[in-house]
Amino acid sequence: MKRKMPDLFLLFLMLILVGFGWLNVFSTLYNGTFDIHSSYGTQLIWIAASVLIGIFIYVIRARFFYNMSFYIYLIFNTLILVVLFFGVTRSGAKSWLGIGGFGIQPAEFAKYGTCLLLSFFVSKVNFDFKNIKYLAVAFGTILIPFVLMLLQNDTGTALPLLFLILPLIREGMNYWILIVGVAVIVLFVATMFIPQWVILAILSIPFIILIINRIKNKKRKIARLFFIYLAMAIYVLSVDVFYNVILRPHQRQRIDLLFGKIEDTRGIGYNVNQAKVAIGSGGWTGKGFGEGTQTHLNFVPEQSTDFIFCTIGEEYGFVGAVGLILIFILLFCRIIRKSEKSGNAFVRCYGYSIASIFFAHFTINVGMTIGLMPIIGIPLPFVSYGGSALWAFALMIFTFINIESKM
Amino acid sequence: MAQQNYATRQWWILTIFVSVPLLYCVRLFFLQVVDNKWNRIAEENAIRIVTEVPPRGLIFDRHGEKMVDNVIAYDLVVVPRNVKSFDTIELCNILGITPQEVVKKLEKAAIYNPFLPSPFIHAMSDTTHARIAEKLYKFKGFYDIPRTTRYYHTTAAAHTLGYIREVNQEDLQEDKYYVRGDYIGKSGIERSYETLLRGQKGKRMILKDNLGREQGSYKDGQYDTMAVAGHNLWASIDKSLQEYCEMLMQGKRGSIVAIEPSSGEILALVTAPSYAPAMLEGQMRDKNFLDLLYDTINKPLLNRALTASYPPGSTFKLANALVTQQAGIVDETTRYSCSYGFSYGNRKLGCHGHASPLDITGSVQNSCNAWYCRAFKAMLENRKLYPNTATAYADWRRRIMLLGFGHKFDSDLPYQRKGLVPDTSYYNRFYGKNRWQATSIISVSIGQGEISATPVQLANLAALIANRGYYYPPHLIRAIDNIDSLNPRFVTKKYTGIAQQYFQPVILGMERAVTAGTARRAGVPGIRVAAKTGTAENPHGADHSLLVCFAPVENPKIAISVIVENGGFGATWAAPIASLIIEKYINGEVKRKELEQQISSGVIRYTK
Ligand SMILES: [Zn+2]
Repeated sequence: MKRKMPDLFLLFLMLILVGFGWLNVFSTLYNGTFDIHSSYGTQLIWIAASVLIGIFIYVIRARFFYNMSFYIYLIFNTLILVVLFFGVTRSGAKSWLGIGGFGIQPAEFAKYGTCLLLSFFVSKVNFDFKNIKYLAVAFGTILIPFVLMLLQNDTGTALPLLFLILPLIREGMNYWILIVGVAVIVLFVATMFIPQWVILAILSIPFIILIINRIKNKKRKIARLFFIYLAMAIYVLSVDVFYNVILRPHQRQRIDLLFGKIEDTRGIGYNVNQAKVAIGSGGWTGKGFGEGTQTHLNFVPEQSTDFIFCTIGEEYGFVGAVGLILIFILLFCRIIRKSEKSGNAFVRCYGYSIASIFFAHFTINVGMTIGLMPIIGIPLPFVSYGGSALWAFALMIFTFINIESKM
Repeated sequence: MAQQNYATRQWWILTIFVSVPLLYCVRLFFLQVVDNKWNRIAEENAIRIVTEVPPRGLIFDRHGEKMVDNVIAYDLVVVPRNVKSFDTIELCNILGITPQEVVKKLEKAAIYNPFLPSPFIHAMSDTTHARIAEKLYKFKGFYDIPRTTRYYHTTAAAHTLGYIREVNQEDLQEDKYYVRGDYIGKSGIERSYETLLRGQKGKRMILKDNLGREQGSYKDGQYDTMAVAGHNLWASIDKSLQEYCEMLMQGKRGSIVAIEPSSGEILALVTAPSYAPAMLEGQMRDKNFLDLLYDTINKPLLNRALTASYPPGSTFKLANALVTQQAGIVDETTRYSCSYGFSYGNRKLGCHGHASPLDITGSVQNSCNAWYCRAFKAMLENRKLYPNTATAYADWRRRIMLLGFGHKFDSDLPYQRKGLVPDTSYYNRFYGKNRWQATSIISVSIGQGEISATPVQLANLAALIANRGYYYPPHLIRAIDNIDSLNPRFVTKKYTGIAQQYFQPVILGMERAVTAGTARRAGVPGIRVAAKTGTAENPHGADHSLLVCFAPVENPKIAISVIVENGGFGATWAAPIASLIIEKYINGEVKRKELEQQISSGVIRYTK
């Protein structure tokens, strides 16, 4: 077993994010006297606890996480099941486990377990992406918590699990699945704005060129190209059906709103609009610490949890918001770099997994506040107020620091 | 292992991890730096501008007695969107309106704006408000809101004081100070002193949260401004004299203007018929207003004292007596004979029987028509002084206008008329250039024909005679902010261009008119009164009865013009009314109760 210095830079990045997040909770609620029972006091306790968890995690043997990954996965997924039957409903989703006034959200921890178990399977020497059996195991690992979270009626929390396809691709899975996935989304968005026949016409241009090219070069596989085009055509034509028949009205409304097809500043669009107002009014350098009117006067909902990026955008302006984004970029790159440098497939796959989870949360959360994503209530890693998510993200990071330096 | 083959994929994944955040940075740049509409929206969101409307200035009379006051009244408003089903009958019983009216008002409010309060009942009476206030919980969407309204401590001086109204579209466009729902003076002093009376609205910027609850002041109130209360005004009006004058004018049409000669302050400004000022305030104001407006027989909304102009009749002889002396046409030794009138060509302007010939004093005392025709003719035909008739007339007109005729005073009177002193071009148009002479327009000399003047101009004539040569523009506000101050607008004398010595024979004639002439009924025992009667010819019916006077002669305190429409000779109605006013003002009380009773109960029948 080799031993390296733990990655203090990664720890440093995490602490900046945590500190910045706490400062914003503090700015929202501080009124002259420090009150440990207020949200910023509670958050301070959670931060302290997460550091303790970190130290505890770091002293554990690295092989423990590899060996115990299945049990960790099992425990947290079971907890989701428990929540499903005995949980507390908060904001429409039954995802909280209340233990004497103290609530935790096992879903966030289940993501941690999923990262571990997925890496465990993928890093097995005989794992083969061409083998449908192994592929099924990998996807099953992701889909079990995914389905459980959907059953909790918590689509938002489940979504980041889909980003775990990235580590799989890194480890050798056929990336067509990603391209198809992206194509599905792009075509869906396109149909919102462009008439279907136009899309089909545009799509047919590259296909015709490709087919002519292949005929000229006497290459085969023309049928395959044709089938791909046909599939896309059917998809484009069926989006309407999907949109009008399968989607529920409130989902349709969210999509319409996201694409600016309906203007609504009072109803469902209220939050989107207010978030944009808060961020947009920040200007270059923002209104200053504690001076954000939109966030402090409750125009922005959940301004210390899901919409905390609004507080940052309003009080620290473009400079502050971009600064925070740069720290996230650094965080992603650092994890990827450390993963690649580690010769261990388990460490690498795990690193890619948690980076993907962080990236997913970042993309959805920030995208939502600046109006590029639909309203999906998930926390911004380390920055948002809340215990469960912070602990779960801390677990992910500290486990990575542990195994990266020790395995 | 095939692993190495996939290592390049890290760059693809890294590209995704970096490009999405960078894309977000671009979006943020547009949101935060390029597009600056969000800042404005944020302010609209979080800052509520609360306007504080200061109390309107009060109006006192010249002795400090309160005439116009502020009181709180309650409006009932409705926000249609908040209305829940309610007991219409109960609401109707409390408010004294019909269910149809309720439906109509609700529909109107809903059309205006279902989310904003619309007026439902204006200025409820105290009892109505007390009854509705305790039942309001049953009528969701109805609210009582306090509002300052005017309260009048007098039933007189309605036209002078004026009234206030909610601003209309025109007011809003004309002056950006006003917003919908503000009040503005619409007539009288309320109108001419609007900018002083309204004060200055204050502005407070209050932070509000998403539910509209107040969250303290914005930036510690550094952008706030304090409301400045409206200025209090002391009118020149003598409240008790005004009330007394209005009492005397009961049952008659006409006007009284009383001026303090030494200051130009209007002591009483009466138009009859009138109305009580309170009628145009409170719940019944709209109905009352329409009633007054459609009373086309009495025209109570017409301010005769300021806007009616009459042929001044014989009172105008005073002006001619002064002007012809100053022009050097006549002097104390000039005597003109009169044989029951003045003949010119084959026409004759009649006169009544009196001693002949007469000097200036005698002509005033006896109101001799012939004397003034001759004097006027002598002026217009004087070729030593003037090359032609038109030049002579123009000089005469200039001198007349210096006495306050034919133009508006530079004053605070809410409305004025110029009256008419025709210029030469007027006659040139009428007769043709150089086709008219003194005899063509001879009736001007006795205040008939084209000449017309307003009651204020006539009272001012009396005042400038009392002052022997100058006047202050007749005005209504003597002090602002402080009873002891003086309205700085009206401290400059207007000189009439008539030397002091020319007043002596005229005033003597006026005094003799009272003691032994045409104005005997204007006399007051124990007070030296100077007066001149007049009779304005009225082609539509009985002549108008006119009188100008001042008293006491040795130290004038009051100058008056009285006009009683269709009152016959000046001596009939105008003279005794002026007499009572002088007694009331100089002595403080009227001893001649029989005369007072007879005059105040006198009714003149008007058919149109
Ligand atoms: Zn005569």
